[in-house]
Amino acid sequence: MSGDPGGEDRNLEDYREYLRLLAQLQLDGRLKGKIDLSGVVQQTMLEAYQELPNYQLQDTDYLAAWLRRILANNLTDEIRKLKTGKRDLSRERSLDAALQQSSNRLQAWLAAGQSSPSGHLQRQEQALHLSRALAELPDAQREALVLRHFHDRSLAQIAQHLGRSHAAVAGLLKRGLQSLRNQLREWK
Amino acid sequence: MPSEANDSAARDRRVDEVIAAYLEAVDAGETPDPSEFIAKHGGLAEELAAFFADRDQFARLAEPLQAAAAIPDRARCVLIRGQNRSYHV
Repeated sequence: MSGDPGGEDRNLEDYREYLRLLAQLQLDGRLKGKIDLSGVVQQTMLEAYQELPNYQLQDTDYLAAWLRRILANNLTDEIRKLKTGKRDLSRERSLDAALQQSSNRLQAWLAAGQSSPSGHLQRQEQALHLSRALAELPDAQREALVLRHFHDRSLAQIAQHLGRSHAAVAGLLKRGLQSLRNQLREWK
Repeated sequence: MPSEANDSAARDRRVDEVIAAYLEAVDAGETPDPSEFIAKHGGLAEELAAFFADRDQFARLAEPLQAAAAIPDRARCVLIRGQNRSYHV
């Protein structure tokens, strides 16, 4: 792939929101705000741009797997820094557990990523499209949808997490899905 | 006009409450039938039908992302040794 920002490199940029969402899904919710996800994704993109000319990536499946690998390594690095660099955090038992849980999950995810890619082009495009559509939503709507549909959280858990009533969370889910409807129409 | 806006807001709140009741039932391990739920709340049928359709579409479209984020069972037992960074695919 070239360094032409208007050419094939544009495809790499298409993965930014996909990587951000995957990063969010890999981390324990208790680490929210403790790790700069945007920074991790930016670092991942920078490394990918630097390394991309050295690799002959066969198709978008391989590109996605390769990017996930870089992302997982960078997230692991961030967790390691948090563990070793901030001793005050390690005294907080729940945070310590969250760090360990996320670290273990990332190791397993990294191992899973070493296998052959599982999707084909249409599924990959679908994942990218949905990632970008979710990124366009207001924060509370996106968070409610991600917690419900990706983390399998109950309505009560989401309500507690967001500090809202059950009906208010239901409203967030409803409006989030409504907003996505038009953006996702082409995938029907 | 303000009255219409108030009516609309009140209706929205009612829809949200009904959806919350449905989700609470799901979380409690029940398997409420959406069509029965819609029939039970006939006055809100249009909004509830739209919610269930949107939810089903989202669940279908989210599957590839869920698969990308998931950890296969076989990988849960894998112990990664060392911290070498390798970008080979």
